[in-house]
Amino acid sequence: MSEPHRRLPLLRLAWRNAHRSVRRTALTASAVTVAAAALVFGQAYVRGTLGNMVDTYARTESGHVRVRREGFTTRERSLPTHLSVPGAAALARELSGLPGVRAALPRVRAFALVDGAGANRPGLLLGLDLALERDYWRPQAMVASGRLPLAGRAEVLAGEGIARRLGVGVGDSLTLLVQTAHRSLGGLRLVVTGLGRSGMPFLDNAMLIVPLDQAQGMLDLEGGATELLVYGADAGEADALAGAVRRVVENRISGGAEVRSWREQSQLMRLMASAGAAMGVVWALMLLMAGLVVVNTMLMAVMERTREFGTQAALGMRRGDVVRLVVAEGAVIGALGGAVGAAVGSAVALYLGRVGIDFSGFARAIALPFDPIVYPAWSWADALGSVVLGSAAAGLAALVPGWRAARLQPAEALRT
Amino acid sequence: MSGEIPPVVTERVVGRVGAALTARLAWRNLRRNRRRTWITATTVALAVLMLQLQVSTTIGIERQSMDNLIGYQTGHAKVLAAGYFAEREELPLDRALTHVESLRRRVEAVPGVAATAARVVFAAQLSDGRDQVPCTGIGIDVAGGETDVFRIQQAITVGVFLKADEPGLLVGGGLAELFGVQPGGWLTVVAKTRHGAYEALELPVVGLVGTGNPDIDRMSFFVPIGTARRMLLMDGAATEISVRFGRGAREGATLGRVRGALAAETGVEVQGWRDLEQEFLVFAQLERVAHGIFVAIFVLLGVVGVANTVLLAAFERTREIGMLMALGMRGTGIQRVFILEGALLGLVGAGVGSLLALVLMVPYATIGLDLSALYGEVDIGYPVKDRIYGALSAGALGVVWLLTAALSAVASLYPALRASRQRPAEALRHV
Repeated sequence: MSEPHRRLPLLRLAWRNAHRSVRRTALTASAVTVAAAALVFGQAYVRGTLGNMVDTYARTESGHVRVRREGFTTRERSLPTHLSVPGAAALARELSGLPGVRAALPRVRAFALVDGAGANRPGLLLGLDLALERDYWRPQAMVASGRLPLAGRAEVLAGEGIARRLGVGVGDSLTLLVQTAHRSLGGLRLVVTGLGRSGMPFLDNAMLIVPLDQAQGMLDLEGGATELLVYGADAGEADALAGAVRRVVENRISGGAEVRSWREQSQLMRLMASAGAAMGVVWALMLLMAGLVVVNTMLMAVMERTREFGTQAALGMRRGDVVRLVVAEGAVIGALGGAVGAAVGSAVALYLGRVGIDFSGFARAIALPFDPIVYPAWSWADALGSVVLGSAAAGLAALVPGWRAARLQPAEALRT
Repeated sequence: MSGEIPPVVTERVVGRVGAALTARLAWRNLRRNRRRTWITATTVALAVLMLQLQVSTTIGIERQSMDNLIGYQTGHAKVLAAGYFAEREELPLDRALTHVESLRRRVEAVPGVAATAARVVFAAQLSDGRDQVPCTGIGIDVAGGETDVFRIQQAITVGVFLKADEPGLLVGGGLAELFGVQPGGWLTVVAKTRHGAYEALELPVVGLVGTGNPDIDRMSFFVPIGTARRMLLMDGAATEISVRFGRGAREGATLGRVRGALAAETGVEVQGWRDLEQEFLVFAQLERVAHGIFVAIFVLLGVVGVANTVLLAAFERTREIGMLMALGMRGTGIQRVFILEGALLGLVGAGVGSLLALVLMVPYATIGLDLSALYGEVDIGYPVKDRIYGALSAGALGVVWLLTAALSAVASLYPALRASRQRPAEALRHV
């Protein structure tokens, strides 16, 4: 004979049970709260830091996809001007027309020997299209004093560090000596229109930002550039973009082209991007610990209700139902704790996401493209995810007390 | 009545519970619900395991880094010409030390100083005729103390060490790779002399060095000091005298004595390696904070677990507490029992975690962890070569262990307070 299937109002019962002893529920939930708060804030912080690095790296070094002449990168440390991308300006216009491309920017990067006020030292010559770069390298944000150079004029924005060492200021002039694309000696006298501060000391001590046309002229590049950076809508789709760029560039550059997405350019960046996955292990451990605390508190809750379980069992409640009931209670408490934790974590993440965390004090020690102010990047998914995960972890943990309750013999349970 | 008051022999303070009894009560209480105790102890153990491994890694990698910096780059201290330190990034040759040998003798006479060596460090470009790379040249005094202060000789991966005054080049491994050069090949050194004129010198590569320190491996080459002096017109001068302290010499005190010995010397300054490598120390500090935050969250969770357990115990034993109070035990006595219970729980959990950590740390400290397998050829910011070794420090193990126990005790304060604030009669009535 078979009984009709009975459906228990699990969630309602669980909710009621959680309500019965508010302080114990709070106790059980507290561990989940800590874990969820840590998860929501931690994720935001990690995402903010990684985003900062990838974004700064993409803006200043790698683009989403970078086109160079074959062989330039292996000799990158000497920035060989003779290995340039010919016709880069025309190529850039063509690449800008590709679907999904936001911008294609030719850049010139070369070593220069800089003479000014009697001192001379090596500097890093950066030829930028100052109008197009507004949203990318953002030279306008680097101006600490004076103004940006203007296209078509022999002007330069010098890094604060190098200007100080050369003993020059706004209005002074500098002479740059460079090796041209034909490996002969080239030079140009430039007026310092402003001093620049990027926040990255290795740049500030070397950079000389000049209009692209001036750099091209000085280096005999004739419409060429040492590299061409392509930006799509999303850094995450750089690999697909690299494929599209490769198809356009193929066979167009004598000596071969080297087309690489930012991921392919730097081992360190790949490592950083995979740090997100490593964090998964940390969060899992944290939820495990929270789960163990839940096991403890709920075991006690179950023991206290021994008589009640006995009565329910005597009334014909099945073992499976008992387990389900306790698990549901754990899940409800976990969700409550998770929600409170998510709220706390979100509040902290959102606040710091607005004001930022200032690492400028440490910036000198980090020779990485890294903006010294980190903004934690909060996301809905983390907040919701931590509630779900907290609920799931507590529910899983409640299996232990659940089995324990189900094993009680009705008669014995009633006798206690 | 004779009116004599009998002398008070002993006074028994009612309700006062001795330390031994408190400990026995706390211990018994923990054993009453063993499963709960073990589950909580496991949480604490997990947190402490992470903490111990983190501490071991941090101490280990910092120790290795400092050893590397001292052994290859800075020594324990440097004697510099006055004003050199402020301009050190420029490597100015016009701020050089003269009468080098007399300075060395005076420094070597200072107690605690083991050896000194003169170096000429200069900005240079290295070229193979095709590419030219800016780097740092270091003229070393092979016959005059260099090998007593630095370990460059032990870091040679291919070829041989420089011989005194036999022109040759020892190139950092990364630089050699860039040029594709091996011992037997030739490279050109281009540098500005002390008077600002450019000078070029072609030299044979005699060996390659791999120290794990990117400043050296990727940026530096070594030549005999005589070669450097002739090329740069240094005429017996040196840009620095590096000082190594003896084993067991106290760093701060010895540095102070060296400064004292040269106090009368104008035109000379002494910098300890901590000043010279301040950037690294700041970086290490940042790493400590960044990693510490995560581990702190784990410890917080562990401590929440302890607080939870003690609070549960307090609820559970309401009747019992009422009984004890009715029998005359005071609130503070009850508090002590519960606080001790938390502390013992922390002690046990942290003990288990520390033991587990110890099991992992022994191979970590002896075999080490292959970094290149983990990260590939990435500069992780610490100047260490290939492998990192965890530190096996009894002191650190003990401190973390006891600190966790202390935190557990602190976390039990509130539950203990709750437990002690009950009215005996009401508590007894509690089911």
